[in-house]
Amino acid sequence: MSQTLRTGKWIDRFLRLNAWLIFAFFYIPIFVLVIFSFNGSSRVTVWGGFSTRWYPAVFENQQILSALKNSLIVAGISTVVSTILGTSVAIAIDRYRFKGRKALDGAIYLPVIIPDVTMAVMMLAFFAQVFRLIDSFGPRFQLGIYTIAISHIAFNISFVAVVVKARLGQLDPSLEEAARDLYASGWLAFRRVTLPLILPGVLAGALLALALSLDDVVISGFVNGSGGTTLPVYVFGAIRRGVSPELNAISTLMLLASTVLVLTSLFLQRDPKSKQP
Amino acid sequence: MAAVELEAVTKRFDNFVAVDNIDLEISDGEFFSLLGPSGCGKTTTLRMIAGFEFPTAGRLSIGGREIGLDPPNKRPVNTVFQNYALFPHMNVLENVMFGLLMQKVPKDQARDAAAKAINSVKLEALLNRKPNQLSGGQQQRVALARALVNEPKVLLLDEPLGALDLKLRQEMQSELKSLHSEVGITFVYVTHDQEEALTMSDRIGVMSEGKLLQVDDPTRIYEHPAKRFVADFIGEINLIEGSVDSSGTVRLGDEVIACASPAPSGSQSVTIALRPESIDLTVENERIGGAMNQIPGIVARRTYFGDSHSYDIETSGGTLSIRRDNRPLNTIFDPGQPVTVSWHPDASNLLED
Repeated sequence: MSQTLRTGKWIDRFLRLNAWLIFAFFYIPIFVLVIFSFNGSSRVTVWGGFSTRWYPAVFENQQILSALKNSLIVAGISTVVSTILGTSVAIAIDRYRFKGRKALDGAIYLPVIIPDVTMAVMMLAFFAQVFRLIDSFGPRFQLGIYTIAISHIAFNISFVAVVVKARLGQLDPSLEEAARDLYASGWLAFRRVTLPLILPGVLAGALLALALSLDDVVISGFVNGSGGTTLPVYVFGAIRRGVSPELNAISTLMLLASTVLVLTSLFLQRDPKSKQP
Repeated sequence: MAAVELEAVTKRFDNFVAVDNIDLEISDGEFFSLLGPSGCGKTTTLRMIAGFEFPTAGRLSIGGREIGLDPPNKRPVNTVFQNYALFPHMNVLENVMFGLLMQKVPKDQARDAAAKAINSVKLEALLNRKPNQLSGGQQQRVALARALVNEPKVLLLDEPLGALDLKLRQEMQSELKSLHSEVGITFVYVTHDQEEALTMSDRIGVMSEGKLLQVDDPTRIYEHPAKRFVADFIGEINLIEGSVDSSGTVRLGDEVIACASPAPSGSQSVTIALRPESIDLTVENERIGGAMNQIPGIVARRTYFGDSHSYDIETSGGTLSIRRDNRPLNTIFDPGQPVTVSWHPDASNLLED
C-alpha cells in the first residue's frame, strides 16, 4: 500500500509545479495590467516610473463617464429585473409540477451555455422583428441602452435562476409545509420562511448578474445603437485605436469591481451548514 | 364525536394508488397510531389530514366538519414533522410564536403563550437558541411546543422519534404518552415501529399497500391479528398451514388442534398464527392439565439470547419457533431431544390472507 503511494513522488512534484504554472498563467497578465496602469509614461510598452496620474484622468474623460453611467443604468435595471424573474422561475421549477417543467428546467441553462456572439445575433434579429411590428403602429424605436438592458435581462435570468435553484435544492421542503401548517397563507409562508432562507442565494444571483452585466462586451456591442455605449464597449472601441495607460487604469478598476462582486457572490453561496463554529 | 373521519378516502398519484378506499373514525382524545412499512400509505393519509395532499376521492372531516379541500392553514390541526422542520432562521421562542402570530394573536399575548408552552416541555433556558444549537431531543420538544401552543383539535405526528437514538426514543415515548393525557388532544401518530405503536396507542390501524387492514387496540392487534400481513408485520410469529376436514376440525400435521375461532366454512386449509412466546415446551409425554393443544416434536436447533432461548421444533405439521425465558430451574432442551409442544387454543389464530 505505502509502496504504491511512494512511487507517486514524481507525479506529486509534477502536480505541484503544474498548480504553480496555472497560477502564473492566470495572474501574470493581471499583474502586468495592474502594474502598467501605474506607468508614468504615456507610451504603454515603456516603463516611465510609478505614477497614479491615469486614475484621475479616467474620471475627467467625459466619454468614459458617460459610458460608465450607461453601464450602471443597464446593470441596475437588468440586475433588479432578472433577479425577480430568475428567482420566480427557480421557485416554479423547484416547487410546482406543471406541464413543460422538465423542458423549462433544461432550457434555463441554455443562455448559460450558448456563445455570446450567438446570443447577440439572436437578440439583434429579435429586436429587428419587434421594431418592425411596433413601428407599423406608429412609434419609432431604436437600439439604445434599454435594448442592452433587455438583452442582459435575457441571459441574467438564467444565471440567477441556476444559483437560486441550487439554494432551493438545499432547503427542506417541509419547512414551507410547517409554515402552512402553522396557519400561514401561501404568501406569508414564502415571505416569512422561504424567502429569508433563500435570500443568500438570491443576493448571490443578483451580484453575479451585476458582474456579468458590467463585464459584457459582445452582446452590448451588438445591440447598443448610437449613444448606448457601455464601459466595456468603450474600452473595446478605444483599444482598437491603441492601448493607452488610461485603458489599463479603467481595466484595473473594472477588475477590482467584478472581483469584489464575484467574491461576495461566492461567499453568499457557501453551504449554510458550514457556517457553524 | 369523531375527531377525524375518513370515508372511502382514496389518494392516487398518477397511476400509483397510495391510499386505497380507507374508512376510519378516530375518536376525540384518542391516541391513534397508523402502523405499517414504508410506502404503505400511512404518511400520505396523515398528509391528507394535514392538508398537504388532497384526496382523489372520498370524504374527510375533522371535528364533524368536512375539510377535504381546505388548505393546511384553514385546518384545526398541527403537525410534528419527521425531521421537526424547525425554522432555522428563528430562535426557539420565535418558532413557537409563529403559529400564534399567523393567527393574528397580539404579540405580547403570543409571547406569553409561547413561553408557557416552552416551559411545559422544559426548555425555558433555551428560548434564544437557534435550532442548530439544540440536540435532537430538544428540537423534538420545540416541535411539540410549536404545534401544541395552538391548541389544535388534532395533533399529527409523522414518525417524530425516528431520528432519535434508542434511549432517548424510549424516554420520549413515555413523555409523549403523558403529554397526551395532560392536554387531552387527539393524537394521530404515524410510525413503522411496532413497539412504539404498541406501547403508546389507544388504538392502532395497520396499513399495507394503501389498505387499512385492521383497526384494534394494541392487545388485540398483537394477540389476535386478523390478517396474515398484520400477524407477520408485528412481532415474531409462526405461520403454519393447517388442514380442515368437512366437519371443520383443524389439523396440524396429524394432530387435531383447537383454535381461537372456528375455521371458515368450506375451507380446506388455513393459516395458523402462533407467537413463539405463547408456546410451552415440556419433556416428551409429560402431559399438562387443562384444555391445551399438545403435539409431539423434536428439538432441531437451540439459540441462546441471554434473557431467553429460542428453539426450532420439528413437528408433523412443520417447524415451530419457540421462545422460552431463562429462569432458574427452567429446563434447557438439547437438539435431538423429543419434546411435547403445548399452547392454549386462544393463542392459535386463524388468518385471512
